[in-house]
Amino acid sequence: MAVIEVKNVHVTYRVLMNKSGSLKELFRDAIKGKARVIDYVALQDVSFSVDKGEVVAILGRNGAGKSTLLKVLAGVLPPTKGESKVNGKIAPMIELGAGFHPEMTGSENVLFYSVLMGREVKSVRERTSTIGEWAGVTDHMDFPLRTFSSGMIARLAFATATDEQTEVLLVDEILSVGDADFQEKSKARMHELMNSGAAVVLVSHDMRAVLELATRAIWLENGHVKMIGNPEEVVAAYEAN
Amino acid sequence: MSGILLNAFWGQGLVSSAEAIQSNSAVLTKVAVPPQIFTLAAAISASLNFAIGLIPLTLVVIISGSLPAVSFPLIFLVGLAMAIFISGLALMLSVLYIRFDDTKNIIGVLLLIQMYTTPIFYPISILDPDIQQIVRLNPINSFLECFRWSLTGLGPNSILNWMYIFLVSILSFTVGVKVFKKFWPRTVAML
Repeated sequence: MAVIEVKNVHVTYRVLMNKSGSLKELFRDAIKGKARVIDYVALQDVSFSVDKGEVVAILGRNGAGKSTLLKVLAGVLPPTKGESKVNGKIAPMIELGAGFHPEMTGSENVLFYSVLMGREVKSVRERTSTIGEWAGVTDHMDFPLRTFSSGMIARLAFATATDEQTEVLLVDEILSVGDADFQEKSKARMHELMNSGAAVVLVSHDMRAVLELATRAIWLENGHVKMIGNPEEVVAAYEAN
Repeated sequence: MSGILLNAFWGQGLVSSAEAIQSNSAVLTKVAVPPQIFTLAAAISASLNFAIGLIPLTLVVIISGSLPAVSFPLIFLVGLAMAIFISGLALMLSVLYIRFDDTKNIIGVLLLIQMYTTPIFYPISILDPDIQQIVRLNPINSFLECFRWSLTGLGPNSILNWMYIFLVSILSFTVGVKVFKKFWPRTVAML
């Protein structure tokens, strides 16, 4: 059974063509009859499905619509047309540490981020020290996040995002978090999550990682699916383009 | 003093609630959470600040020789209505805050105009009777009259004022939720 089903998804942004994004200028342009709105198509008729245990890589140049597609799958951006259905809990690893607050302590940030992801407060409280320990920041968990180094924040964010088994993992670029030891540890956890049957959608420019991890690849160009198939063929066609 | 406290609740509460979604864009573009939560949380936070501000105000009332009126608990009804009023307006404004950079400046100027046209630093009685009728349409004036009466038992009070503040609050909230729901799918892409 498909865990992710994307059917004829279109995403169109309405862009107001005024130079500075100012309400005053819009008012002036509207009076002069110069206000213009254009439709920018970010995704066009995108359809695919991802089964349990599959790792699907999304390839494409900058602006091809990869991040928009991840946002649609994460439920952050509603499609303008079409349907995107995800059956199960999502762990969005789109930008680690997004939503962490510098004034809150490490423990408070773990709780806040976990609750945003729909986890239960009680179980997160019980797991907080384990998360801190896994990230190697036990001594700092009661200090404000602004006292953490950027590596420590990324490690804590990774540990928080991957703490619970989820049915869907959305990954924007393969993560190289922290020092060499932690990179090995995080890679092992990612493999563990992937092998446990989660459906994974991975956006990457790293073709080696795509060939190593993905079971299927989708090549996006200018918002539409140019090719879909096994990773070797898609990567070869993409690189030849 | 009561006027300043209530006006600070209104002005700061509106700005922080309207900004809340934009300032949490990092979360909202990565994790699927209802964005309205951030607006409501900011309005609740402003209400708590108002409640804390009530402590020194009440002390001043006591020190100046009066006792808080029997109607004192009604202050919390005023606070509740104001929080609902702010939430609704902030939901509408948050869409503009995301789309247009200068919304914050324009709202700042409008709030300043509103402050001077509301009888905060002067009694409404010094205004021309015709102007008074217009000023009475300003919901903040009704909030202020209900608040002052609840605190001290002095000043004008009418059931119409109470009905008016709850009516504008419910209206603001209902319209705010609907407007936000309509424009959010197009606005989220701009975060």
